[in-house]
Amino acid sequence: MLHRQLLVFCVMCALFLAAFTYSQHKLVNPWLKLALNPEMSERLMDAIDNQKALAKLDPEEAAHYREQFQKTQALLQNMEVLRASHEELSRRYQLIPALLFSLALALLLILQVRHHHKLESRLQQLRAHLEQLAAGEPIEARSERGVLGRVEAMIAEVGDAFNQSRRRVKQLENLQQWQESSRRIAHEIKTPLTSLALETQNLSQLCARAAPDHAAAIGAARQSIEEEIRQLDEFTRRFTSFAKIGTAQPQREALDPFLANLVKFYAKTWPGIRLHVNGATGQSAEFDKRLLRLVLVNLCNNAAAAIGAGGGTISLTVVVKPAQVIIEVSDDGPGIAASIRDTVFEPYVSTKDVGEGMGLGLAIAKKIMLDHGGDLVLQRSDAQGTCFGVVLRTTGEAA
Amino acid sequence: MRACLLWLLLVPGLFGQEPPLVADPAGWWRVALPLDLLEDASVRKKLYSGLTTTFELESRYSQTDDAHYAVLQVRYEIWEEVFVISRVDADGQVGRFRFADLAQTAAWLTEDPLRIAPTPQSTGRTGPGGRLTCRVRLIPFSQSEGRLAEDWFAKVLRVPDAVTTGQSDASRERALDDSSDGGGIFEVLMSKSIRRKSIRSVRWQWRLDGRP
Repeated sequence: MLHRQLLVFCVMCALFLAAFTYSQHKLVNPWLKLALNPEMSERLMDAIDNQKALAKLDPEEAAHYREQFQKTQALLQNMEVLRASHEELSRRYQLIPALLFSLALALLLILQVRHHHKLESRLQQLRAHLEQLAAGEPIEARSERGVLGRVEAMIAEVGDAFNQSRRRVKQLENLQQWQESSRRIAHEIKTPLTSLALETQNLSQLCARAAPDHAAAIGAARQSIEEEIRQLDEFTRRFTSFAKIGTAQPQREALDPFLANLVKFYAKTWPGIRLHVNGATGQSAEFDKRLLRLVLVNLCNNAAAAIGAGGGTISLTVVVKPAQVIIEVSDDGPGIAASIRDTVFEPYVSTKDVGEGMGLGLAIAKKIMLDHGGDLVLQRSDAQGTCFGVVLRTTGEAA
Repeated sequence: MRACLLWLLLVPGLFGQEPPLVADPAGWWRVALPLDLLEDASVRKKLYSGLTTTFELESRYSQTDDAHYAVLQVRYEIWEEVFVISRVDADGQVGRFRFADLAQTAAWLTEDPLRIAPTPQSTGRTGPGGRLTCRVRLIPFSQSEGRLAEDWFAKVLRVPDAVTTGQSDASRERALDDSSDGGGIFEVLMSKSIRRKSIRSVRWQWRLDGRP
């Protein structure tokens, strides 16, 4: 297609050049003929003869006529020399503009070829980007100049959104699988636990009747078993909390009062921690107040744990983005270990000591935010602290 | 003085047949320019404008690549009504002559033909026959006249409004003289388009047949 356009352009250039040369030829030759008209030479010749005749008739003015004669003769000679070179003159008068016109056309042609090559390369790039889009690979737009540049940027933007959405769906699917697994495991553990508790009770009663002398020992053993069963039950209950998040029911809510209430209620929860809100005000977004509170409290809990007894600051900063509001929860703790930063949202990943946490908090928080059609992302974590971004939609339906 | 005339007619030239080739005792071929060359209408017109008409004669033997040149310049002084002739023979002799009219000029050319090339005997290159070729080129103006016309044309091109303003000769001359601008590339290209090209060319050829 491009080559055909180029061919058409070349043909047009050739036609223009031919038309130009023809018109130039037709325009130049009459002017040259007029300028070098032989009749002018004849008149000049007559004038020379007249000067000579006048000089003879009026010898007193002979010097003046001689001067006029010489000027006229010089002019005549120049005209004759030009006439002798008229072919070369005509050729140059036609050749120079034709050459300039050809140069301009050649320049135009070079620019056109360059433009076509550029266009072709950009189109190939676009095709590659579309293939990347189909494969779900990240797209990097090189330039936003021109229509193709804008199309390229749009493809990159769509690709980003598409990949982000795909990533969210995958995360959601993973979390749902974990949720389902948790529910089943909890069920599998809880059912025999109930039976075990009943059977332990029956067994202790039978043993107490059969051996009344050992009733005290049997009672102590029973209590010990029941304590273990209770602990196991507690573990199962916590384990199933992941499966009992509940469905998010987002509504359009104002952020300022929500965050103010949160700070007000939880200000004293973490001793030595200063909790404050800053950033944009007057924003509203789509969220479920109960679940968002759960998320923010969980993040604050983690932040407070990371800061430790030394005390510090937890900031809730509202940042406005197109169609989004982000609540950045940042602390000035020591940061998350680099080794687990990539897996921090996966279930049962924890920085706490064994027995202190199940590692479900961030997974649950992530699930809640994905259910909102938003997201929970780790924005930064280094020696100066950690910052999580709670992404909320300002419009539209949940994903 | 012993002279030998060789009338060898070969290919007819543009101005008729070859003129007679004469060998002089000094060992040079001599040839007289035919009168009809000078009397050609276009040549006469240029001649009577006061321009210098140049006849360039280039002679070569068929066996060698050596070229010999002779030049004859004819200019008509219109005011004095005399023909001024400058001639440079192939042997290097230079002469300047004045004649009252074209007939005298033609007569003188017949009496004292131009030396165009040395005879084979004088150069010691005797061989079996061979041919002598002479190309005559007629150039309508001299180098200095061409340069003057070039300067004039350049000046005219440098004063583009001369036609539109209708300047008189005197004022135009002043404008031309005052103009210190060297002109643009196009003006230079156009003013340099004056070439000293021959307007007529004649080729004479003589078969020598080992003589004289």
